Parts: sequence; C-alpha cells; structure tokens
Amino acid sequence: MAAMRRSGGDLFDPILLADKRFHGEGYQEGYNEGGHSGVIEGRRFGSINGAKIGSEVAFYSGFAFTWKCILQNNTDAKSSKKLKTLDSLLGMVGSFPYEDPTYDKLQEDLDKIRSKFKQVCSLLNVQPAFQNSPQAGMSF
Amino acid sequence: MWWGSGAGAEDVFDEEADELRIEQREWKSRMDRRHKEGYRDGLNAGRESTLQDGFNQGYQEGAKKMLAVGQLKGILSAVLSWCQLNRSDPHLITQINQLLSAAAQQEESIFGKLSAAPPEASVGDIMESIEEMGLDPVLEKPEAGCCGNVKGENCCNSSYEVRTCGLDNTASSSQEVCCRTVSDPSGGAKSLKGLCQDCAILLENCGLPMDIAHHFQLQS
Repeated sequence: MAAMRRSGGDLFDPILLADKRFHGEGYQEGYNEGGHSGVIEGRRFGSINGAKIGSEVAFYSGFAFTWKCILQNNTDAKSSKKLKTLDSLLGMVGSFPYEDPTYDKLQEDLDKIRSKFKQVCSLLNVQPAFQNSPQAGMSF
Repeated sequence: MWWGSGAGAEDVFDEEADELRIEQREWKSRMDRRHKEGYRDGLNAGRESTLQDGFNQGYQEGAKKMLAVGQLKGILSAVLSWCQLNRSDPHLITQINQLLSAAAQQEESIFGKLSAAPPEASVGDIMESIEEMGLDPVLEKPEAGCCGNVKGENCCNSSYEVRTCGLDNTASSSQEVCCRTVSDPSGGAKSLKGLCQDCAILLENCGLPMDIAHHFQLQS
C-alpha cells in the first residue's frame, strides 16, 4: 500500500500535465481561430463606422467648398460673413482626422463641425437635401 | 494464492479490463472537455486581441471609400440649394435632384457592401460559392474572373465576368449572374465616375466656377 501511495503521487503529475496540455492545445487552436474572426468582425464594424463619419465629413466639405465658390466674387457685407463662416467650416473639416479612429476628440470635433454646418445653413438660408444618408446616425 | 484458480483470475481480469475501458473513456472525455474549454478560452482571447486592430483597419477603409461619394452629395446639395434660392428653372432642379438621388443610391450601395460581406473572401470561399452556383465554365480561369462579384461584392474587372458569361449561352445560371453583373451598378468605380462627370457638366451648365470640379477632381 505504501508503494502504491508513493507511485500514486508521481502519477498525479502527468494527469495534471495532460490536463494543461489539452487545455493549451485547445486554447491555441481557439486563439488562432478567434484572432481570424476578430479581424473580420472588427473590420466590418469599423468600416461601417468609418463610412458613416467619412461620408458625413466629405459631404460638409463638398457643400462648403461649392458655396464658397458660388459666393467668392461677392463683396457685400452679408456675403463676406457667409464666406467667413464657410471658411471656418472648411478649416474644421480640413483638420479633422476623419480616417483616424484613435483620435480622442473625434466625437467632440464632429459635434463642433455639425453645429458649424447648421450655422452655415442658417446664414445661407438653405436646408440642404441629403444632408445625411439614412444610416448615418452616429452610434458610439 | 488467489491467482491459482483459473476461473477466479479470468473474472478479476475482466473486471479490471472493464474498469480500464471506463477509465479510458472518462479520461478521453475529460481531455476532450479540457480541449474544448481551452478552445473556448482561446477563441475569446484571440478575438479580443485582433478586434481593435480590425476595427481601425476597417474604419480607415470605410472612411476612404465614402470620401468621393460624400463630397459629390455635398456639391450637388449645395448647387441644389443655390438653384432653389434663385428660383432656377424647374427642369434644372429636377435634374440636380436626380443626380443627388443617384449619388445617394451609390452611397447606400457602397455602405451596403461594407456591412454585408467580409471585406476579404479567400479564393477557396469564392471557388466554393462558384461551385455551389454551378458556374463551372468560369472555373477555368478563376484568378482572372472571380474577384468576389459572385457574391455581389465590389468587382473592378467585371468585364471579364460578363464576357465569360456571354460566351457561355448554355448554362442558364451563368446568364442570371451575367445579367446581375451588368445591371448592378455596384461595381462602384465606373458609375461613381460617371456621376462625377455628370456633376462636372452640371456645374458648367449652371455657370459655376470650374474650381469646384478641379478641387474635387470630378473629371479625372
């Protein structure tokens, strides 16, 4: 019996080791698989979010630049105020790193751009069509 | 001496053999379980490890893809509001509205593709779906012909697909795909380019500065 107990203690280690080994093998398989699906999942989610922001910001830049060109030869006080606001919006859009999801003030800057755009629209006295695509509601 | 009796020894061995088998089975199922547990843990860990990178990658791609069409919508929207403000010719306004709708559709189609399918499909996946659809003739030149448009994804060289399908008049399934490829404007690049050119012509017709078209490279 004494011999059994001794060898029993030695036998226990391989069991634990095997336990670890099987878990480890499964883990590695899962890790590889999970890493692959994580990239796909993340990319899809990221591309949707990037597309929404990219589309919105690009819209503002197209809108503001076009209006700037329309008004650029007018010299009256009203037009110069409009042009100033348009320039300000264009500056904000131009410096907005819309391609960088890690930018920490993304939402903050985007909100500023949106309110500047609203200001531009009210100054121009227009209500632009297709301002946002139907899906372009922000979700963060 | 208990092993002296033949019958007794057999019984003992049988019992031990049974036990051994049971133990082996238990051992196996235990190790299977450990393997599965490990797999599950690894799956989550692996997923977490790449999710953010994938997101960042996709984000950049998505933002870039929307750039041209978003700008186009902005330009058209500005021109429309300018024309409405000036009470321009209703025909012109209708025309701008149509262009704007087309641009919005284009945008939705790009967006739909981004959210529908994984950005990358392996050659194996595509081959599989081609086989499932019974498009054997296309298989002769898989590298050249299939770049994902089988699943309705963006395809830059759809002309090859169309040509291949066109030659193969016998397989009706090929014809269907062929029609879809032709009618689907989702190829993206070409019809977006067409819209940009239409927009440039519109700007010119409205007497608006050509700076706009140059700035956004509408005619390139």
